[in-house]
Amino acid sequence: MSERLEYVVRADGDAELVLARERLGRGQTELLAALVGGAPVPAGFDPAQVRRQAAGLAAKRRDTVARVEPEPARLLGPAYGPLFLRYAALHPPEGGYRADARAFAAWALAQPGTEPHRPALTAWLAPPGGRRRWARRRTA
Amino acid sequence: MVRNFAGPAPALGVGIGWRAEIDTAVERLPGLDWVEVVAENLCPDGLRAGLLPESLRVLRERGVTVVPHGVSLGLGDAGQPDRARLARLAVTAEALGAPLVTEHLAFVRAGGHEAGHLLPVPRTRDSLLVVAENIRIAQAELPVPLALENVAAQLAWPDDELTEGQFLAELVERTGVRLLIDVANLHTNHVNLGLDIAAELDRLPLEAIAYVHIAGGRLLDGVWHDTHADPVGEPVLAVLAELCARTAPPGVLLERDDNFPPPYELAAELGAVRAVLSRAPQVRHV
Repeated sequence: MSERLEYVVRADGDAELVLARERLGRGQTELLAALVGGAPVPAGFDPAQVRRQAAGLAAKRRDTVARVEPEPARLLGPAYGPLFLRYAALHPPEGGYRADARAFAAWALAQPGTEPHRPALTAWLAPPGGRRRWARRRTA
Repeated sequence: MVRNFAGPAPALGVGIGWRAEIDTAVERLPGLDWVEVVAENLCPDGLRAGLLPESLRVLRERGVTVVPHGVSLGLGDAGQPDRARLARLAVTAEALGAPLVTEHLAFVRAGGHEAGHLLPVPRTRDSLLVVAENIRIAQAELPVPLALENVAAQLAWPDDELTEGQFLAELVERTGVRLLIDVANLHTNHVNLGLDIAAELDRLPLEAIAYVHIAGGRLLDGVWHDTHADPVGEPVLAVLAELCARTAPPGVLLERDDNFPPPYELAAELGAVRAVLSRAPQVRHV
């Protein structure tokens, strides 16, 4: 047992529960890293099942990003889906769906084939005069 | 043994998932008994100030029950449920005057990553300890009973010791949590993972069922996709009939999240659900 764990066990009083959380967390972290982070499939899992679940998560992410921030999907048209899945395979989700949409758009700018869409994507990422739609009008 | 249900589960009837895209269609559905709303889609600050989306306000005024359904609490996460998320869920339940709140038997984040969807937990002794404790923490923070939903999975953990039904039964036994049984998810796990639905239903504590979810999906290359974007088909209605042959569920809720059809098609799907319910023996386990 690591020093850290011994400390946690003493501090919490329920050693069994603390250790169970630690073991469960390790397994879940390994699996999720494989599903969204491109890490190897953990031992014992069916690789085909893990690939399917990973594809399901990426598709859900693609659709949710398109719903939360519709502009990149609208600008890219039919290219959006395949591009987003390529992006998702390389970049685990971070910072929520709006941040994901911006990170995707910035990544897409550098991809071959997106040349016709680059001015519009660039304008969406940094509109002249700032992103007014994000501004909040506050009243006292 | 813990059986802290506060009496039998309230009768809900037949309902539909309220979504902003179909709000006016939902308001006009004939004979609609109740709605469910994704808890994360409501603004807690607005709720604290007594503000609801107009359509939900109209439904509440009409006496339609509204049940908040959480998707991001992570009761199956290795860590404790986040107190701020729990507090928001509690505020939402109170603002809606909901008789219960529901969440999933799933993990949604680990090691700093968000899954963005519901992932199955390994069904081991370890996770039973952890999930039961997470449920107790949630129950202590929530003003109304909690029900837990079975999830659709594309993968199985290698070290599962229990089926999902057995796992849910253990959780009911240990915590008194109620169950939300999703028959489309049972069908998904049947097609993709070989689940024996009849045997699984036999393992469930039927008296703990608060309500049932039903949704459409699509078979692609031998894999069932629980899309919530297709009409409810015969195979999923057959799972509902299997369940109704064992007990009369207090409520059934249709989930439709995308590719919304015209209102008359939603009404027809609710009609198909009612037809299954009316053919079933009216046994109510309490």
